[in-house]
Amino acid sequence: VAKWSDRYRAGAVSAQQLFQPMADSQLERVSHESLELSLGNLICQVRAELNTLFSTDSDEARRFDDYSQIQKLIHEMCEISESTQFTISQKSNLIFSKADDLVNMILEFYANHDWPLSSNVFNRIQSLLSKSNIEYNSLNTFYELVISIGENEDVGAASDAFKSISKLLSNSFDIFRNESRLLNTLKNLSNVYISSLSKIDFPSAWASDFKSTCLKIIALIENGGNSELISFEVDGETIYLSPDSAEGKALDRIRESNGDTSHWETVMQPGEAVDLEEISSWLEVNGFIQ
Amino acid sequence: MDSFSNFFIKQHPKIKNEDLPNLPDRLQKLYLVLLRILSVDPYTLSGKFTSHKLERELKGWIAIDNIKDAGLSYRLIYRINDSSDKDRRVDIASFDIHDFAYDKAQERVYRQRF
Repeated sequence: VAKWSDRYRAGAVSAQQLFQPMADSQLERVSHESLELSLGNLICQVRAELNTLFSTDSDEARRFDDYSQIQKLIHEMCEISESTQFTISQKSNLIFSKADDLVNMILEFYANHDWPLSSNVFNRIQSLLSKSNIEYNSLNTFYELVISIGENEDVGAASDAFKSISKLLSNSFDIFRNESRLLNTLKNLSNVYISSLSKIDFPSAWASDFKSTCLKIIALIENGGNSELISFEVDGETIYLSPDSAEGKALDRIRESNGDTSHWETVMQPGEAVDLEEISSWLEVNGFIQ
Repeated sequence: MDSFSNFFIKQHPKIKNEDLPNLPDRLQKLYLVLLRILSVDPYTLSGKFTSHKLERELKGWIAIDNIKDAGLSYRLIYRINDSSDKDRRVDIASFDIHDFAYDKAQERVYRQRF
């Protein structure tokens, strides 16, 4: 029996034909567990096939040919995975983890073979992730890929990539809003992203939205999901302050007052006696000063 | 020996209604002490606390920055208005827990400046 990849390359079989059963209306009759298993097996199989294909083929021209075919295959797999999700999304969450596997596999594959990520595949991946209950592996792999695009100074691609990952992070926050363990992981990831951005020192503004998204997510998580954050712009980048903090309250109140403090309360007047020695000893006794 | 207050002290109405009721007793008492310190010398705080100037949209405002309670940091944010001898005034905008996100913004402003 010819290898699946050989058959695919020879045009003997289309991805659509291979994966058709998953997108078929017959899905409704298949148990979710067996469907998950099928998709899981399929992904393992595709992964193995793709790896074999590339480990045995050193010819550059052939690789290029494979590259376009594999691009096509990935498009189709994504399409089917999306339609599968649409079909059963209301009935089973299990399938989502397999979509994560699929995305992870695609991204690993791109990273391992040092391929450029086309905007079409990029949009596909984003679409898959935004619809699924993603796990962090793929988000992380995706991020690493975005960083590598940035490091290669492909500014246009990096700009799109950062916009996409911003959306992904926001979507992840919405999905995980009520799960504190996952939110903590998301917060840690956001911190890691911010830190890695500063190390790379990207020269232009295309990462700033992404960084703002990370900061907002951290602020939202730290504020228990309170979305009434006070935004504060510093050199084109938005910082989000807690509405319960001194800085957040000050900004809010100063903006509201618009320079007019006439309605503020007078609580002391000039000429009142103040015993600074008594104040010093009170501060010392209460541990505010040494 | 008694000193005398040199400034009017004005506070935002929400300090009384929102900030103070949610602070520990110890900090509520400290606030009354800080009012007196500010009224005498809002520039150096009579050497009892440290402060720093705020930036960007909060330019002109100052934060008293070494207030700690139970391991948490607090800030009192105020502005000095001394343009007129007849109306030397300290406006206090808020007194509450410190948001460390602001420090990041402040650091960035300093990094660019120096």
